[in-house]
Parts: sequence; C-alpha cells; structure tokens
Amino acid sequence: MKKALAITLAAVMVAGSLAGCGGGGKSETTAQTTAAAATEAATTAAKTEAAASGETEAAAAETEKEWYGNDDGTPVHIRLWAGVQPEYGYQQMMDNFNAEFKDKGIEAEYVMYKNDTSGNLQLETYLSSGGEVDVFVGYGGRSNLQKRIDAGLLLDITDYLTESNFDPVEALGATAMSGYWFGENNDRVYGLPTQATNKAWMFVNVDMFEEAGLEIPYDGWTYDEFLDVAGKLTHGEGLDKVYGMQWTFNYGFDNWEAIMRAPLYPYMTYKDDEATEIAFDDPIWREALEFTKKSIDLGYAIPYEDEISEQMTVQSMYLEGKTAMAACISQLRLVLDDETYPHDFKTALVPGPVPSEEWMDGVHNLHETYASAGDLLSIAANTPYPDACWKLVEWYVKGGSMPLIVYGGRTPAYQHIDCDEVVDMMLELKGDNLIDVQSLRNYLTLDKSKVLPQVSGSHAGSEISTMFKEEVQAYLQGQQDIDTTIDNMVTRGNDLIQKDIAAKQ
Amino acid sequence: MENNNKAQKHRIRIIRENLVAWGFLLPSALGMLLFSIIPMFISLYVSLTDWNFAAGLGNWNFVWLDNFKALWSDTWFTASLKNTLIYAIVTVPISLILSLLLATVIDGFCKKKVAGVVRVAMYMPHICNAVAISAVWMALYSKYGPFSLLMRALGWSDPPRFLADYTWALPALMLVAIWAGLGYRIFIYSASLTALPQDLYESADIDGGSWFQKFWYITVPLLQPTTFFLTVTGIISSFKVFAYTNVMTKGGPGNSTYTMVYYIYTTAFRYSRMGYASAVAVILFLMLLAITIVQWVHNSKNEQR
Repeated sequence: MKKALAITLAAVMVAGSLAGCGGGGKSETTAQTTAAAATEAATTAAKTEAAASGETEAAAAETEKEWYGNDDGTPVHIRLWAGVQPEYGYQQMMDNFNAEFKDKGIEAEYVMYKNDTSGNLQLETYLSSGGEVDVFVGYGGRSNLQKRIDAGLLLDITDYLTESNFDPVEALGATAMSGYWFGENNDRVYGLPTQATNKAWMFVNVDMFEEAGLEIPYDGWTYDEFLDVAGKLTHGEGLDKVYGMQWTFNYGFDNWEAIMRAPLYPYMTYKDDEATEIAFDDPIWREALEFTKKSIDLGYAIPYEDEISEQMTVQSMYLEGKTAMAACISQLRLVLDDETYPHDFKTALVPGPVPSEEWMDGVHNLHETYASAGDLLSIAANTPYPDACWKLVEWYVKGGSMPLIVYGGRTPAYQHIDCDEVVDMMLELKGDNLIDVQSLRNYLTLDKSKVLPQVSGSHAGSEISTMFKEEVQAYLQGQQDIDTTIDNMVTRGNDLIQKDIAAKQ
Repeated sequence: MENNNKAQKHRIRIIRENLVAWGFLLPSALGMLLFSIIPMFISLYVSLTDWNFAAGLGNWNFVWLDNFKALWSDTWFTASLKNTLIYAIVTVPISLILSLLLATVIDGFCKKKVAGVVRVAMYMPHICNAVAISAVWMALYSKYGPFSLLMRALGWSDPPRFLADYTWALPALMLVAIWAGLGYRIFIYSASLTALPQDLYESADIDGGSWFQKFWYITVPLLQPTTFFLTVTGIISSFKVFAYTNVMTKGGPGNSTYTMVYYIYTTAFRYSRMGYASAVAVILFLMLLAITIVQWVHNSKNEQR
C-alpha cells in the first residue's frame, strides 16, 4: 500500500511540477490528468515485467484446458462464499457457471456468510482449517486482505493471471486495482476487486419528474438547477409531505460527501499529499455546505435531525414515494427488488449536482474519483483444486457476475461488461418498469480506466471524520453559522493532526 | 504429648477444610484473576503507553503521563466527563425519590396480591435488554411518536426531535435510564418497607400523625441504609452508562451525549488508540474507586455503632 501510494504520489508530484502549480480548478484537473497518465505508465511498467516472465507459458497454455475434474471422471466440488443472500444474483450466477462447466468437471456451490465480525471470524477459521471454502468474496478493503495474506490464508494468483493472459489493470481499471497490489515489488495479486460503485450518482423518481414536467438530468446538473428541480418536486405538508431530496444522512456521510467533495479530488480533505493540513476552508466546501443547508432550509430536502431521529432509509422514504430523489446508489438492489419492497415507479440513475457549469465534465461522469473498489475475490490457500478455483474466479470477473447487477444491484468493476446483455437480462426479468435503461447504460459504462492518487489520512483519519460530521451536523441543524463551522473544522482538524504527529514522535 | 497430637490433627483438619474451600473457589477466582484483575493491571500499564491497536501487541512506547495530560485539552473527553457527571447527578436523586414514593404508595395502598403484580410489572424493564428498551424508546421519541403528538396537542407547533436535538438528547436518555431502573429500586425499597417495625407507625397513628408525617419522620429515616446503598450503586451504574448512548444517539448530536464509557469504546475500537482509551478508563476507575471508598467508610462506621 505504502509503495503503491509512494509511486502514485511521486508521479503526481512530477506531473504537478511539469504542469506548474496550477491554482484554479481547471488547470489542476489537467495536472491531475497528466498525473493519472504518468501513474498509469508506472503501474503498467510494473505489470509488464510480471507479464513478460509468464508470456511463454501463456502461449503454451493458449489451448484451453478441457477437464478440471478428478482423474476418474468425476467432477470436483468447489464452494464460493460471499456475504450476499443467494437470491440477489449469486444463485443465478452459480447455475450459469454449473451449466457452462458441467462438461469440464467443475461443480460450484454458493455458501452465504454474514459479513460482520463473527461471520468474518467464521470465514477465517474455515480458511485456516481448510476443506470448507475454496473461493470467497472478502470485504473490508485492503486492510482485511492484508491481514489474511499475512496469516497465509490466501493463494497468490499472480501466476494464474499471467498464464491466462489476464491483465487486471486492463480488465478492471487502474483505479479499481490501485489499492490491491502486494509483495516486495508491488506486483503480486491475492484478491481481485469485482465491484465498483460510484457514490456520486443518485436516484431520481422518473414518474415524479414526468408529472412535474421536468427533464431527467442525464448529463448532470448544477447546484442551482438542482435546487430549482427539488423545489418543483416538493409538495404537501406533515405526514403527506413529499420531499425533493433525501441526502441519506442516516447512512453516514458517504453519499452526501461523495457528491460534495468530488470537485476537490484528490485534495478534498487534505491540502497536501502527506495529509498534514486540513482542506475544509476551500471555497468549494463552503459552497457545498451552504447549498446543502439551503436545500434543507427551503424545505426541499429532509432535515438532518429528521433523518437521524427517524432513522430514515431508502426503503422507508424513497421507495415509499416520500421523496423524489435520494443519494444512495449503493442501495440499487432495493430499487430493483419490487417483490420485497413493492413500488411502482421508475428510477433513473443520474450524477449528483456540481457547484457550477465548469465542473460538469469529468467530476461525476468518471469513476476516477472513486478509488475504492470492493468485493475482493480470493482463492483459499489450502484448496485442493486451485485450477478449478481459478477458472471460477476468471469466469466471475469476466462478466460471469452479471446476474449480480441485474438481481442485486452490485456494479461490476469489469470494464468490458456487455451492457446490452445486462440491459436485456434486466428487461426480461423486470420489464422496463423499474429502471430507466438509458441511465443504467450511462452508469455502467462510466470510464474506469484512469487512476488518481487518493490522499487518505494517515494522521488521526477516523477522528477527523468524526469531527467533520459533528461540525457539519451543528451547521445543518442551525447550531452555528458557516464561518464558525469552517473555522472549527480547520482548527480542530489541524489540531488533531498535530497531536497525532507529536504523539508519533 | 496427646495434646500436641490433638492440636496437630486439628490443624490438619483446618488445612484440609481450607483446601476444599479453595478448590471450590478456584474456578471463579481464576476467572476473576484472568478476566478482571490481570486486564485491570494491563490497562493501567497500557494507559502509560502510546499503544495503537493496529500496530499489534507489544508495539508500544512508554509515554508516562502524556495521555493523562492530553485528556484535559480534548473536547470529547471533557464533554464525556461533564455529561457523565450531569447524568449521575440528575438520574440518581430523581429515580430514588420516585421509587421511594412509588414503593410507599404500593405498600400502603395496594392489596397484597395487586402489589405483587404491580411490583413485577415495574420490575420488567430491569430484566429487559438495553437494546430492546432503546428500540422502543426510539419509537416513542419519534417525530410521530406520543411525546411529539402530546406536545403538539398542547400547542407546541414544532416539537423537538428529542434524540437529535442538542438540548434534549441527554435529558431524553436520562428519562429512559430513570424509567428502566425504577422497578429494581422499587423492589429493593419494598423489601425494606415490609421489614420496618410496625409499632412506630401504630404509635404515630395514636398520636394522630398524617400520612405525610409518617412518611417523612418514620419511613424516610428508617430507610436510610437502603437509600445509601441505592445511591452508591446508582452512581456507579450511571458512571458506566453505555448501551443507551451507543444504540440511540451514538454520542450525538455533536458531543452532547458522549459518556465516558462510550468515549473509551470509540477511542479504543474506532480510533484504535488503546493507550489513550486506557487512560480514560483509569480516570473512570478512580472515580468509581472514590465512590466505593465512601461506601466502605460509611459501612464500617455503621458496623461500629
């Protein structure tokens, strides 16, 4: 991680000095794009090295192996573990796989585990004792993966990648892969990210837009345009009130923050690459905060205190038609599931609002600002059938996981996903009553090829996010004005950083 | 000679009895040692280090009292200390007065069978899970819950969102704690009430004492040991309050419902700063120790009397 970060940071610094220290938004974007290109070059260089060694074998293995089962002609049985209910796509996926690999001697079975502390402990226990888990989807990002690598629970799949000519950067995007290189030279792979969600996108209720005579903002919108639309969508009083927007504060700050901070990427929290100075006094943050408060004060968005005290969810508000829009793309599954959550309106996926016209291109329309890809697919170190497991992994990553988006709303990280096939499957399954097909296409085909460094807090990161939340809440609930809020965030944040640095010395 | 032998036999018997007693005590003593006493000393030690949980066991530097010094400029800690003290100062007396009054009323005015039913009903919250209690109260505190509806009916146009309001959140939590602890206290008071000597009340009746006079001049003074016991245990349990905060408010809004144990929990398990969290735990330990010493002194004075 450190090394990957170091490489990317170095690349950015070089690029930064080449482009000159651009102060404004636009010139910074150019600098960052150059940086992205440079980083990509660096990453690819590292990868070709790995690929070169395996190229000859790859050529030899070009002819597909036909039989993965036992020598006596019986198929091998492997188990895939993941933390999602089977009906949200995994069962369908397993059926597809088994149909395809029936003649090749692999039988796969899906096992659901609970992605919580005890569930993960159970998974790790089985991984170390062996025999129960062959392939699994892990959560918790790099730190969890690292822990399992250190414990020797995972198979190094780098050789499989080279043997089958599978370039993860090309397939999954440098952004998605950026956090998942390991080993001395940062060229080993133990888990492939299979899911990449862009949280800066949001849901809009197409029916309500049509009723109000509004156009769906497929290509994005500005704060002003958003407020205008939200106002037109808001109506009613008391229990019957329909809000324009649900910021989903009850889910934490993830979704709201993803939309607000995108223009500042990657310096949205810290001004420098070492994460030693707080960036909350940037005018972009002031504008974002004032915009959010305005949306609440005008009565268009659900007040913060209501969301928290009533524990409002997408199910209880958006799907009940009590709000016309919601920022919670990670809950796409619920929108697609009208059996468990009956609703009869169509949802479109659109980018979140940006401060002004100049941000319209490339802020929310790219995946580059979201380096966090998840659902890490790994093979157990002690599986008796590593070849069969690799086959499943490769198949899963290369489009096999399509039922997951159709049934479960999990956005695949795979860059070459067959959009038409996904849309067809969805139309066949649900008709076009639940989701706006054009918007789904837009969302699935977002460019995921670039990589930008993500400056993350190595100094009191969690404390700073708690502090940020407290100050923003106080502002949104009218406890303090905008100047005090920004002052507090900067002083408290820098203070926490300094204390942490002092403590580490 | 014979005497000597007898004395020796006697001694052996005592040793054997002691061994048997220790044998029975061993499992729980061992548990206590492993899970309470040793961890206590470890956390005392850790409080003097800068141990970060993520760095692994033993990866720590000795920083002496740095953690304790840093505490006082930490707004989360000072807020949690203040909230914990307010919480104890408000909830303990109110719940004592309420439970004493209710116990006396139940004892004096309910028939025996009814009194039993009432006491059991009041005792229920005490055996309920704090998380379940929290869930019910969150519904009660809802914008559309009975409290808000009542306030609206009384002419309050926009009642506060109790659990998300800076001034109301802590009182809202206190109310839950008072309610949940009431039954237990009533139970204890009722037990003491039935044991009070009836002759004092009879002579008061002959002298024409009113209900209030009997309550104030006989019941209250005679229940003083019970009251003292409930005060001490009440303070200790309110210093340790955690579940309601964790489930209902997560310390929010802002830091208005941070309590010490909640802060220990977040520092240790969210920020991974074990050394610092242990320092807060040591402060809490000292506070509890002070209360316990007061109780010891009081008890030994009583015994001397």
